[in-house]
Amino acid sequence: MELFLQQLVNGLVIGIIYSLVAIGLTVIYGIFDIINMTQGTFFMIGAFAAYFLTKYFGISYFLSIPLAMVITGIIGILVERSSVRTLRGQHAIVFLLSTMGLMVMLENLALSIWGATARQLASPFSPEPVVLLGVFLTRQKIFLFVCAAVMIFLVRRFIKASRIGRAMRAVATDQNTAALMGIDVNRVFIITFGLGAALSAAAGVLLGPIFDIEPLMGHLTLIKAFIVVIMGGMGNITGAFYCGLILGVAESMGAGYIDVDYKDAFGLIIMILVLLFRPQGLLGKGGLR
Amino acid sequence: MNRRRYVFHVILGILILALPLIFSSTYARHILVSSGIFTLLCLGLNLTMGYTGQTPFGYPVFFGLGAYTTAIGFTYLGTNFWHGLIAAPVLAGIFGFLIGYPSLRLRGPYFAIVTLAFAEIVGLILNNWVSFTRGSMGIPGIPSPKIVIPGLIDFTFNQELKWYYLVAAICAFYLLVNRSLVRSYVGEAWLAIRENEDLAEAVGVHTFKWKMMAFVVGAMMGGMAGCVYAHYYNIVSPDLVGFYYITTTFAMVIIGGRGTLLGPVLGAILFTAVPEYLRAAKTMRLVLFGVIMLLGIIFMPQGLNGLITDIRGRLPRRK
Repeated sequence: MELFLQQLVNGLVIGIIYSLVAIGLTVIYGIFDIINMTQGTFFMIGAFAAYFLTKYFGISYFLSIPLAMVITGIIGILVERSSVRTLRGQHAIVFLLSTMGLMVMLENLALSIWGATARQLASPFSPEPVVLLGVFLTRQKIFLFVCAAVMIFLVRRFIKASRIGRAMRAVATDQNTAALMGIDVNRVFIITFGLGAALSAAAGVLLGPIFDIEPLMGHLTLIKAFIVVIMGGMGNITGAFYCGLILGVAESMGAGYIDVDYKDAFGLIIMILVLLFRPQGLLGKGGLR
Repeated sequence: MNRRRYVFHVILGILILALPLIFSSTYARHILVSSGIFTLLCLGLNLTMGYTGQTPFGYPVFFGLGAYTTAIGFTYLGTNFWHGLIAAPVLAGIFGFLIGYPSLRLRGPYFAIVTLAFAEIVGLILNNWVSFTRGSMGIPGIPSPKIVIPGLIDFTFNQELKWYYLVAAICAFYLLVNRSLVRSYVGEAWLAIRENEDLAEAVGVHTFKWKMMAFVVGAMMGGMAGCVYAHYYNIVSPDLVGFYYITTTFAMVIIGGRGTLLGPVLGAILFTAVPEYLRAAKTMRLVLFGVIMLLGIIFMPQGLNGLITDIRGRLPRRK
């Protein structure tokens, strides 16, 4: 029972990170109808930004979260301008390849500048674990979960209720009609990409003190985010949230009860099964919701 | 016109045969052979990516499977290169069918990602099943191929020059297969699928069948390329199914020209030779690939081959 609870909690902690990255991916998908391969790169850039901010600029970890989000958001906007907007109107595969080119470029640039050595973001919390019902938890993990949950809640509110959020949903439904109704489509594009990048960066900063930071850390995250987005239905934010948690728990249970070496395979198998039997996602249809 | 074409082909053929004699250093010949191996891989990828318009991100999985087939065959059963040359494409083809059967029902990005997922799973198995595949250490000591007829011939492919002609012969075989497939009704079905899959299906093209054919033939080609790789480099490792090969082959096919016969060849040669010439480290090389891939997609969607056709079309035509 204790192993079960421990794995459940660990799974939820990693799962909400998957949710965060996947929501960024799914929002971009909902608006642009493209799969953004640089989502994992944003995750890495966010973590590195926070690392350098805290280490060399004396900025506290808490302040580094919004700052890293802003920096990565700006990079995200540059990505949109350079490799998405120039290709507008083309087939979805073209964007897959162009953002993949960008991903390869950015990641290997990071690799040649910073090297492959693993770094660790300093956590502001004491490493002493908190014991709850026999489950060991660090304060960093609690903070991570709460912070990520708040962010996801805010993003949902933003897209549901704010003016820009409504514009986003309008563009997601029909770009041309939205433009005719006076919505500045380009602004929506920029905000969406910036938001997607910032969410991914936040995930990177939150996970930074728990896992190592290295230039290729985004690969696996990207694949996990794909899995979550496909499970949840493309463009479905609520779906991405729940499925991120489901994936995290499934992996953690698989690692605890079956084989830790094949931890990453469970998610992939789930994804293949979902695509075969419920291609619209576990929670109904896609569309930005 | 026809005679000019003929002359052009003869000159090209002589040039290809003479290439390793012009570049006579071992290093230059090594580059020629490795670009040849990449050509094999790209020609296989081009069938699915160029002609049917699907994007199999996990394509290098077949390369890895082929390489591991012959490596494991050698280690456990004592097979040689020639066995591998048959077994690798057969096994890769079977896996191509097994992977293609579920994933070819999906389209566009979904297809790309599911094949990537399969590649990741194979990579995980190759890395973790240490007792069988030696994990990340890889399998070393795969011997060079030999032709031995007792009393008559005792020939070993132990120099780059010999390898060059072997790889060139296989390339020629691949090109012939590609050409005859593309020029037959199969190729027409593929192009119909690439241009508009729904329409093709509506007018009675059995899209799943033809896509599967392109995928399986491509997988077999990738498998054979893997076998050649394993015996040339004498070692295989799980990196063969990893991101490096995915990126490189995709960049090569895109820049060379998707859906053209010679495009992938151009791309493979260019992308192997230029980074070597620049003496770029592996990471800087990938940075370069990323940039070229991005710029190529934006400014040169038809690839080098398209560019050449374009220039040729603008030249004044002599009767």
